[in-house]
Amino acid sequence: MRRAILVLVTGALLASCASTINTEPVNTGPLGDGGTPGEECVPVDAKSPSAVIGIDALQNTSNETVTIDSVILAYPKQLKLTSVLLVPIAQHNLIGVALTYPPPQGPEPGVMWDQRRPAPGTTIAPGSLTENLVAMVTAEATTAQAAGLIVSYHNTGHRYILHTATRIRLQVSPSVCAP
Amino acid sequence: MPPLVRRNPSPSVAPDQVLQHARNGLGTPCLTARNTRHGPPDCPAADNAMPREGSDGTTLSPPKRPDSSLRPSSCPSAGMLRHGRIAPDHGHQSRRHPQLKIENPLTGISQSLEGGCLLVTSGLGGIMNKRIVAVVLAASVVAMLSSTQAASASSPAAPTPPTADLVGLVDSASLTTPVVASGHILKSDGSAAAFADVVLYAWPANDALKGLSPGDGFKLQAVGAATADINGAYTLRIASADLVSPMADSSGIINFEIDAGAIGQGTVPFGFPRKFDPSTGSMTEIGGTPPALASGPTASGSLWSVAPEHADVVLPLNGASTGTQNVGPPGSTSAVNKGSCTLAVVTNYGPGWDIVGQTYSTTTGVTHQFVYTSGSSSSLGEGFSLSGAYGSFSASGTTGVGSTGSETYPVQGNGQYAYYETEFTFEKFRRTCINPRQPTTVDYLAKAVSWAAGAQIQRPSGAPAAGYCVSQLAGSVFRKESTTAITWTNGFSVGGFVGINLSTDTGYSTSASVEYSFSAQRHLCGTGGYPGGTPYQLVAQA
Repeated sequence: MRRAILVLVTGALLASCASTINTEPVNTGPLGDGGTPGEECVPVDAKSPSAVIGIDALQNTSNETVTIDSVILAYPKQLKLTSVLLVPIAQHNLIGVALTYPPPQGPEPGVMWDQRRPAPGTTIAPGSLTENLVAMVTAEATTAQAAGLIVSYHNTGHRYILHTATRIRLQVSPSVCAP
Repeated sequence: MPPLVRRNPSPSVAPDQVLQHARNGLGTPCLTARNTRHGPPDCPAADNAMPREGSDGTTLSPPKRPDSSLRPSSCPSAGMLRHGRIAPDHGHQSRRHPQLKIENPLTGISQSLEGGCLLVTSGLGGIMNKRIVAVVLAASVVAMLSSTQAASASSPAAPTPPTADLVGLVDSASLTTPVVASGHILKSDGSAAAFADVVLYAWPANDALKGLSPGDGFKLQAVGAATADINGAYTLRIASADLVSPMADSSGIINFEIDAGAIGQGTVPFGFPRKFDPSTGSMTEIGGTPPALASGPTASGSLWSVAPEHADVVLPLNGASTGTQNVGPPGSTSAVNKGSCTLAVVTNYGPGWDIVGQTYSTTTGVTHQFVYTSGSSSSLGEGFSLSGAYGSFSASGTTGVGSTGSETYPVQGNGQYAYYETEFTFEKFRRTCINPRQPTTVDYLAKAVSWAAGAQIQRPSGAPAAGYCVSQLAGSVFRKESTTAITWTNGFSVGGFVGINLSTDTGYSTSASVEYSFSAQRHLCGTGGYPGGTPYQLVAQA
């Protein structure tokens, strides 16, 4: 029995080594490099501490279709990701930050909101329209934050990771974002 | 973020008003202390203690930038062609520093991998007794040791100790380490300088340079060498990051210089800075994105990374060079001997204003601010001259300077455009290069060596066109802590000293930032990309 446990544990250790050494390339794939560092801070109401964060654009620069496998928050602290969408953008306006979307007056020009779909499992064809990566997040404390989004995706034979460089911070009322 | 082609970020906008000029308490650095560390006895005599003014037979006036000459540009200079940055060689990491930070995309957990193996022991205590734990730990140690040994087996050879001369420096053609710089060496008529000599030097740290006085001399440290091919193409590599790490200043900046020479074409320098991270051995561009983690060791066994410089160097025809024809194609694995360069301080100039950042708002309901803090880095143009005389300098690459204090600029409001400036001291150096295949050459360099503090805001007459927009909620704050540099031709106001204003790149490191605070719903737009990506310049709009 002990020998079996030992074998299992040793195997788990070796598997851990192997999995960590063979990581996917970060920010070098066809969906870009994640941009340069920064922070987006959004004040939210305590009764509805959620926000829509759509500040990242994805465009497939390769000649192969890529498929989004997963999107998670990077290093989340009291911040919960409720859903992630891809929204095609026909012009150069992204959704940006909002408490809810779409606004009463309708989506911004060029935002093809009716063609939104969940990001995981969605394919992005080469040279297609820019896709707005839109995250719905909820604060679970007065200050909630994450070090961006981590998008795992693949094409034929290759897996990639995109780590967006803009941190996300939700500040629950009455706190304010200004320093 | 889609990779975006770097573009000229805005139409020309000229500063037309100086708002304020406030020096902090740091002042300019002392220029009287002699530094003996970088002044070996064998250095050539400098233009000893030349006066600050009139050293070139010209009365110097305070630097003043012609308003109409300030424009963002990536245009090549007359003497040099500097191309845009090429993609970093992401296939390299530092094997000498095998600590890897790995993020699991499925769990979001960051794991530190040291020595090649990750230990996971939590949760095991309840199912194993001490004996099993001991056995498992022993197995783990064995696994780690074997991993470390494997890494050592494929590591590069022991670093070559710094050499006083190029003798013994391994030709880049026989190295497999990351490319530090590449490009072409061209003659003054535009033709290829076949088999030209190319040497990569590292300058002493700025911390040491700013303590030098006129007459002090030092020898440049050769860290790489190559011979151009028949088409003038060259590739420079450094055998080990250990060769250059001692040259990093307190901000981590290392200033490199490419020297190229061919028969009858003289030698010419081209400077470029890199920011050195001692924890990984990686070298990034100032204002650039740090190299991403690679998937694993490369075939060469090298793990350190560097963002390579692409520089096409045009040699000036100085008429002084004669000698035997360069012979031999590149690729020799033998030691090289291409000569060496020594420098001496000719003049300590006073500080010159340099643009270090910019913000714009074309609407109401937005405030914006720039902060230049300790550890910020700027990339400023260098001047090169064969005679050293006023008006004879031409641009010749860039040099990096880090700040040792901070400048917080006033908050800007509705409809305001701002260029944020601070001051850097710079010096003129006399450069003497000895090459066994050419006569000795003497020329001059003018370059910034230290940050002098000071804060000044200039008002451009307009904001650049910015078409990559996101909507910003009232109350939201967007901060950008680093951005890919844009080049402002003539942004470094030193024309009163050397006859031309030099360029400046307004990319900044993680210690400087721009911040836009929105009190109403507005748009924030980038000139070259979305704000969350690589926007270059940011403009708040209605």
